Amino acid sequence: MNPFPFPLSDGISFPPRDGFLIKCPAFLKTLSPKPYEKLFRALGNEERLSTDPAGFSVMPWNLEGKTWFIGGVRVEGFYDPKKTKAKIRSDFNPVFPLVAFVDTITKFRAQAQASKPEHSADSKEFVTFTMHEIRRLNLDIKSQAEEMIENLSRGSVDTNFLGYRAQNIFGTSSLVSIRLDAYDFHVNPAVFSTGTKISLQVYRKFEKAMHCLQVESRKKQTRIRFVGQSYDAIMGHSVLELLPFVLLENAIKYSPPNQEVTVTFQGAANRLEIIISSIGPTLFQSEEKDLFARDFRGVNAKKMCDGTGAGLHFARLVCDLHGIKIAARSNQTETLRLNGIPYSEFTVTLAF
Amino acid sequence: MPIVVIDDQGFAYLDVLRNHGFSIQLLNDITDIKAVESYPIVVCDVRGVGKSFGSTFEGAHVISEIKKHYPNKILIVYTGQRFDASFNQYFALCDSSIKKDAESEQWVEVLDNAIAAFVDPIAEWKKLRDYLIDLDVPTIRIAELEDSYVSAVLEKRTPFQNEKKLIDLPQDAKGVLIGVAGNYAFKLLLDLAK
Repeated sequence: MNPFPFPLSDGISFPPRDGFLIKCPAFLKTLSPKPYEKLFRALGNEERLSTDPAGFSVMPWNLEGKTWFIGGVRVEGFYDPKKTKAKIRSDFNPVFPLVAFVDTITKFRAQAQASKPEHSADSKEFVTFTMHEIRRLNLDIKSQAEEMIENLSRGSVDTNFLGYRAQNIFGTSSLVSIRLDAYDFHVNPAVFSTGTKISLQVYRKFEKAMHCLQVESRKKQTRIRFVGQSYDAIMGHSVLELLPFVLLENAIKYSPPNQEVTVTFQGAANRLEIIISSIGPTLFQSEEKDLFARDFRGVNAKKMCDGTGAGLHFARLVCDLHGIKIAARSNQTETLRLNGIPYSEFTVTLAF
Repeated sequence: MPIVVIDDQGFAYLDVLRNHGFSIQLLNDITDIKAVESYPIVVCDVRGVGKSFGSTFEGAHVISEIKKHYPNKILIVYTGQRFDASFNQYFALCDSSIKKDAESEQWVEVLDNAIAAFVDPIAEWKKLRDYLIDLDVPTIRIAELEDSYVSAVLEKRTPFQNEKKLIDLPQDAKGVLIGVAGNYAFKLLLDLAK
């Protein structure tokens, strides 16, 4: 991408775009870069117009994570008419009113951002994590199916064993779907808010998530316990179904072995409150404000295991879509320390 | 209530959902929109469907055509391509979308909701109203039609029976409004009211 925000008449800027057409002043090509390097260093990255030694306007220009410099243009109030007159000669280099200059660069930045492929860099990381997780879950499905086949081939049909394995396969397969849903949501969140809302029983959705996560919780020897009950149904988009999965799976994932995840349902009709309480890597108080930010992971969570930092961000978006208030808090009192990582009580509260 | 599923690869839950009491017909593809005329609820896959329509959006294009001809049908898109934002405009035409690997419980939920929406006179009017707005029918005229619809529902009679009173409307809209009378859900509503 050519980061210069003005279309150039000498054909360098392609594809064509709106804005003031100018010709790159020939004298610029004869300049020694050294004094300009010094000038650019002195200007830093604050987007403020000033005048360069040749009399032209110059401004640092932050685009796509890099700082460039817009130069060779004349902006009203930020150029030297006498110095530049001789230099531009027959080159077409109009003087921009300040407002037109600001308008052009603003529009250019918006266009550059719109044309940028969404989340190109972090999508790769997300795909890598998703693929890794899907293969891991698929391996679980395969190994359990193989155990069933072996059991059947021995001729000793243990229906309890088969039923148990079938439930596990169903649960693990649901987690594959959840990974794919999370990817869909990551790259195309708009699709989840289309269509009419349907009636969803929140308690039942948590129950289902708990059943599907049984294999994962058993591996971690983590127990999920429900306190209270609710028959409340809310009108929501199908994506709401992912919320219990994301929150419970996070709680299991970050919990040290042999701990309990408690899900408390409280409050009267239409004022349901759900509190998910577990032990997790302590989150520093300074990190709490970023907890729902995309890709954010706490220092201690990073030390504990891999992840994308998408879980709570995703949960927040789903809650925002349904007017559910979500809050998360990590207790600063250390409950235990494992492999040098401090753990404390972590609660997520959903208020409907 | 008759439901049609359009999917070139078959439909894994056909028997399960039939056992739940849903009346489901499977079509591998359609070459003419009229093929779905008698089904109030249409479930359509995106990939491999609607080949004869020649659109790169395949089943999504079929959905938009169904919506154009039968705006009061309940449309459910069934896809593994929810990550692709270029399909969003088509998904937005549907009443709901369901992922390709959804389990039977989710299907039951979506179809139950679809049936409930189809027999709900308010939901039906809202669909008709959106359709009339899209056709640029003046708001005052839509309000008159709403009044006529509500009166018919309250008095347990079929709405929009006097074609002369619809003469000012675009031809397509007239056809759709008259079609409400022959609509399966409406017949069901009148039967229930009797």
